Amino acid sequence: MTFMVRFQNDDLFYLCKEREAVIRSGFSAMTLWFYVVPNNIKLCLFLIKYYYNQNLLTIETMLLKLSLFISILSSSQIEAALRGTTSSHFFDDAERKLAETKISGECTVANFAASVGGKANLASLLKTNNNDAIMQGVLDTKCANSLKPSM
Amino acid sequence: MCICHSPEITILFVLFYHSDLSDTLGKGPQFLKNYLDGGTTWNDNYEDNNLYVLSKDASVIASVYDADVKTSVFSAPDGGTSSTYPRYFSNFYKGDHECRLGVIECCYTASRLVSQPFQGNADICAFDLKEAAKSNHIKAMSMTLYDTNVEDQAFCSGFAYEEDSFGDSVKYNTLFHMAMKTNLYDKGLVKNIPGAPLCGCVEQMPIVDNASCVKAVEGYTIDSNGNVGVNISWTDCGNLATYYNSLDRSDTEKYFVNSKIVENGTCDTAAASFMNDRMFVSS
Repeated sequence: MTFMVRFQNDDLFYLCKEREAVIRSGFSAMTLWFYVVPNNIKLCLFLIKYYYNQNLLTIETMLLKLSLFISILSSSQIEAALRGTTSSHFFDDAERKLAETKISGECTVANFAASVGGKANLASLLKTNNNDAIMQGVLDTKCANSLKPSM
Repeated sequence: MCICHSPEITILFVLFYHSDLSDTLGKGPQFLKNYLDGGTTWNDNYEDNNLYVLSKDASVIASVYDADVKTSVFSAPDGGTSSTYPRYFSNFYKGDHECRLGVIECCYTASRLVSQPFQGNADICAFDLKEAAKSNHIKAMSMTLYDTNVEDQAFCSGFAYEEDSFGDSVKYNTLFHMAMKTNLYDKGLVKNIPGAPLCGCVEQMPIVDNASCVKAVEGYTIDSNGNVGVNISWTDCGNLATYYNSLDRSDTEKYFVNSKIVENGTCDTAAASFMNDRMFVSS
C-alpha cells in the first residue's frame, strides 16, 4: 500500500484554498476533517503514519471511527439543509458571501451608504448609531483591517 | 525521499502558517525570485507545436487570480526566506525600504506566444547594473549603453502609488495583476532586458523612454453581518512618468522617476547624460 499521493499544481492549489477557506470560516477542527478525509484519504493515511508512526491496523480503526463521525455530521447537515434551518457555519458562510455588496471608491460613509441604500441601512449593518462620525470611525477600522495582508 | 519538499508538507504549511505570494504559487521562493529576474520556465519556454503551452504551464496564475487577487491583500513575497536571507526578493527593496520612489516596473523583450508576436513600446537607453546587482549577480561597477535599433524595443509597464495609500497597501496584488496575469498569462510577454531584472523598483530598472501605467482602483465589500472586505480593480493610467507627476510626491522623487522613464524619443539624450554623469563623453 502506498501512502504517498501527488497533486498537480492546480489540485494542490485548490486543496490549499479549500483548507484556508474552512479555517477562515471558523470551522471546528472536526469539521476540517470532514472535508479532508473523503477527498484525500491517502493523504490522511500518510500524515498519520508519518507523524504518529501508527501501524496500519490502528490507522484503519481510527478511520472507521472517523467515518462514523462524518456520517453523523453530514446527515445532520443535510437534514438541517432540507428543513431549511441551515444550522452549519458552512451554509451561513455561503449565504454571507451571496449577500456581499460592492462599494466603489474610498472608505467613506457616503460611498458605503450609497451602495447599501442609505445611512440607516449602513448603521444597521455596522451595528452603530446613525451618526456620521461614529460610522466613519467604525469604517476606518474595518477598512484598515481589510487591507492587512492575508496572503 | 526528502519529506521537506513534499506537497503534503506544503499543504500543512499553507494550512497552519501565514502564507504569501511565493507560497500561494506553490513553486517556492527561488522560482519566484528567478522569474522576477527574467529566468525560469515561465520566461524561457516558448510555445511550440502544442508544447510548453502557457495556459497549462502557468495555470496556477489564473487560479490564484480568480480566487484571491481582487479580494485578499498580498504581503511582500518572502516564502520564509527573510529569516536566513533578509530582503531575498531584492527587486522590491532599495536599502531597507520597499521601493522608496513608490514605482514598480516590468520590462519585457519577447513573447512566448506564437499567436501574439512581440510588440514593444519603449526604447532602452542605458543602465547602471550595480542597481540590480542581486538580480544580475555582477558585483563590479558596470553599466550598459544599449544604443538599440528600432526593432530592439522593450515593452515596459508599471504602477506607482503614494505612501500609505490604497495603492501602496495592494501593490503586490497590482504586481500580480500586471506582471503575471496581464503581461505573462494574457499577453505572453517574457524575458528581461539584458542585465536588468524582469520586474523591480524603478530604481533597479534601465532608463527607457516609455512605460504604460496601471492603477489600482479602491473598492470594498460589505456583507450582511457588517464585515468589510477589500475589492480591488485596476485601470489604465496612460504613461507611467506622467501619472507619477500627478501624485503627491516630492519634486526630488519626480526628478528621479523622470530620469528613469524619459520622454518618448529622447533616449539618445538621456543615454548621453547618463554617460556624462559617469565621466564618459562621446568622441
